[in-house]
Amino acid sequence: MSRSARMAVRLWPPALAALLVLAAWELAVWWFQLPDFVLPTPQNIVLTALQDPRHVLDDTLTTVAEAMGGYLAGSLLGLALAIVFVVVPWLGRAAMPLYVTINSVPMIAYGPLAIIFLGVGSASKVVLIVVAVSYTVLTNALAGLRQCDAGMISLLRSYGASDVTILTKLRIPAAVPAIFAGLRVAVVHAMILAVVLEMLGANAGLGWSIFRSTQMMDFVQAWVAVGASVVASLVIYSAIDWISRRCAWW
Amino acid sequence: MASKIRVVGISKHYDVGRKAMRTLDDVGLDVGAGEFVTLVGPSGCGKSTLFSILAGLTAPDPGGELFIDGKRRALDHLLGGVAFMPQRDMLFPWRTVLDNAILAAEIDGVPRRVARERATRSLDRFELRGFAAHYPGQLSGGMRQRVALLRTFMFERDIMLLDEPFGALDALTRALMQRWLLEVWEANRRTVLFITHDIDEAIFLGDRVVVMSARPGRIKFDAAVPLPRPRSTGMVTQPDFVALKRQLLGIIEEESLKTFEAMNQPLATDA
Amino acid sequence: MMDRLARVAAPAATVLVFLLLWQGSVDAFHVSPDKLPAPAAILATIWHGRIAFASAIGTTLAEALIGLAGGTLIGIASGVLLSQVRLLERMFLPYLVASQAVPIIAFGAIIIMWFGNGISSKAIIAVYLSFFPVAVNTLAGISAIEPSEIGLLRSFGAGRLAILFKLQLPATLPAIFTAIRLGASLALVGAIVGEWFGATQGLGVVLLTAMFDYRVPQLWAAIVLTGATGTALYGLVVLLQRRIAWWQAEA
Repeated sequence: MSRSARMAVRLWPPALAALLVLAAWELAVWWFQLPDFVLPTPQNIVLTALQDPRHVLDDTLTTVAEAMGGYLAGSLLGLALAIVFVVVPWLGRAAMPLYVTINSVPMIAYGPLAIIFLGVGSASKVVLIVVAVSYTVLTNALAGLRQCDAGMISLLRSYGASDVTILTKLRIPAAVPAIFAGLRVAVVHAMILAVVLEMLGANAGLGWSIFRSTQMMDFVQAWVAVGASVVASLVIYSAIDWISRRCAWW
Repeated sequence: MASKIRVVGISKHYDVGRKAMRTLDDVGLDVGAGEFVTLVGPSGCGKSTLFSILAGLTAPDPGGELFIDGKRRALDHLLGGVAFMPQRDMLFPWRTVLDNAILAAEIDGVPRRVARERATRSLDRFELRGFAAHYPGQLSGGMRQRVALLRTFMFERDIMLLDEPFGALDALTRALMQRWLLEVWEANRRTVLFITHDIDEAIFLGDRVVVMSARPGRIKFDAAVPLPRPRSTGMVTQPDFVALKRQLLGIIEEESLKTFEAMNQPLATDA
Repeated sequence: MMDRLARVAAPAATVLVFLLLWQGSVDAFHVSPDKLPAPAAILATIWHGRIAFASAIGTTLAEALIGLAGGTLIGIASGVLLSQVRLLERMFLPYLVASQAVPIIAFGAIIIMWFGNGISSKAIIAVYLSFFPVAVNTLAGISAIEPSEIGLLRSFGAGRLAILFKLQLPATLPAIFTAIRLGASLALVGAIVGEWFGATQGLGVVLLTAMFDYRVPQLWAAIVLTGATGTALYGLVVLLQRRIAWWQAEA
């Protein structure tokens, strides 16, 4: 079977499902005469979005910028800490319990605190995203770095390899799949946090748009923002997923 | 023949809770330069532990001595001294066949370009032609072993320790690999210690066969293989081969029985 | 037992040292409690407001637990259904998986709008947040069972239901519990965020009012209590797992 034929076989059931759900949705709204503030039709949502695309795009950009800014910084921080904790174990033993305790609180609960001290702008969101992302990346990277095959370590030692060599030639490459697993999970956290924290207090962004729309009873706009956040997250996640499959193909 | 490796009185025990488990007991061995010595013995008799000690990965109990080329060597400074190949191929999944082959040489300080050239030239001999850019995940078991062997051969040391390299292969592949290994070894005749479970393999490959007893491992039997080189497959049915095999079977059966009985006893004895 | 204690002792000591340093610095540098309250001050705030806090925790916990229970049941049922009808699996699994990459919590705003400010709307958010991981893991767990094991039961004359209850569900329990653990955190977050959209009681409300009133010690108290609630909820699930699906080692 050709490649495109195989893809078609895989894709038609979910496509069918989407069609059925959308059809049922339209039908329900029509049958029950549901007003917009209860349930707008999918058409309505898309049309509203297209009426004023800049509005949605600006909000999307704000949210994505917050999420990605925090994500990049947090990932780098998490990776750096992981390597430090592996090379200097006592530092890890000292710092990890604190990090774990801090992160045992759902990050959103720190939202109000961040807003009081950093205001309603992007800073409060980015800081919390950095903390959350760095934690996820750190724990996954640490697990990957520590779980190194003991046999492979022995092999390298038998060749006379130094600890640094073992770190660079073995531990880090071997940890790459685990690191990317952490990066994939973390990007989802980043987007969710960005949106939710904006709902708490913000000047712009999709979460803020959702909150404001519901306050102002403009429910179709709320649906537009929700839809946009779903689409944006999918795109970003797919991108990270694609990158991780290129970098950790084994 | 000059002595390459001389092992005197090596013992090793592990602490299991409060008791001691002896894996090696006063092992002595003398291997000449360029000899191919095969090591056989029941499971758990300490063969791999002995290799671990020779490679510098484990320290034996105090009292043992090791001489390489007639000079006494400190047992905690052996790392990087021998070309060691453990039972599992340990190929790095993120490295190509070629890069896996040069791993040991790379660590040894050989510049990558040089090492890659050398490895490429050996690909034919190791029957890996065309696979240089493949990844371990794409190779069969036999091919992975050959890559691991190439890696081991590229680590330029006089002594090679091979721990059951063909253990996971099916009988047909194993027979081919044995003949192939001898060809490759003939090229520069390094000193080889080769662990195996397979008596046929031990006799076919070795200049000498050494049998270790059940735990605690001791040298139980040590005899030269009375067969000319180069070896050929026809030799396995010749009287000399069969006689030695019968002898070895008897000894190993005896030792295996002890291991079997020991399995029904507590693991450790008092130190 | 003793070395479990030992393993907890060192990290616990680290946290304790940190708390003491915190307390010490606040006292030494006379930091205003509106900037950074000392641990002692936070504990005092919790104690003084204990009745109100307890009620808030109760509300949010109820929302989360009801939602978690509902989401788990519906999730397991859905996972089982999808495992039995292959077409349904092919149709809906991609969406189930994709939902975990997406902020579906954003729908919470709409849920609150539909179901009002009471406990039920937050519970519903918790239901659908915990539903997805449970459904996916249930399906994955059932799919991972060796066909030869199913064949074995069939050879004993077992019908579909027997195979489901004697093999498929028990074998999948560890995976289901992994999902429930995730669902517990999600449910709590969902309840709190739901409260931000409209509620009169709960931890989310406490957090929100403390933010609007600029009451930093109160905020810290709420943070600590939220963390404690989340940990307790997670611990509850772990305990349940140990009793119900004890044969799988801790993930």
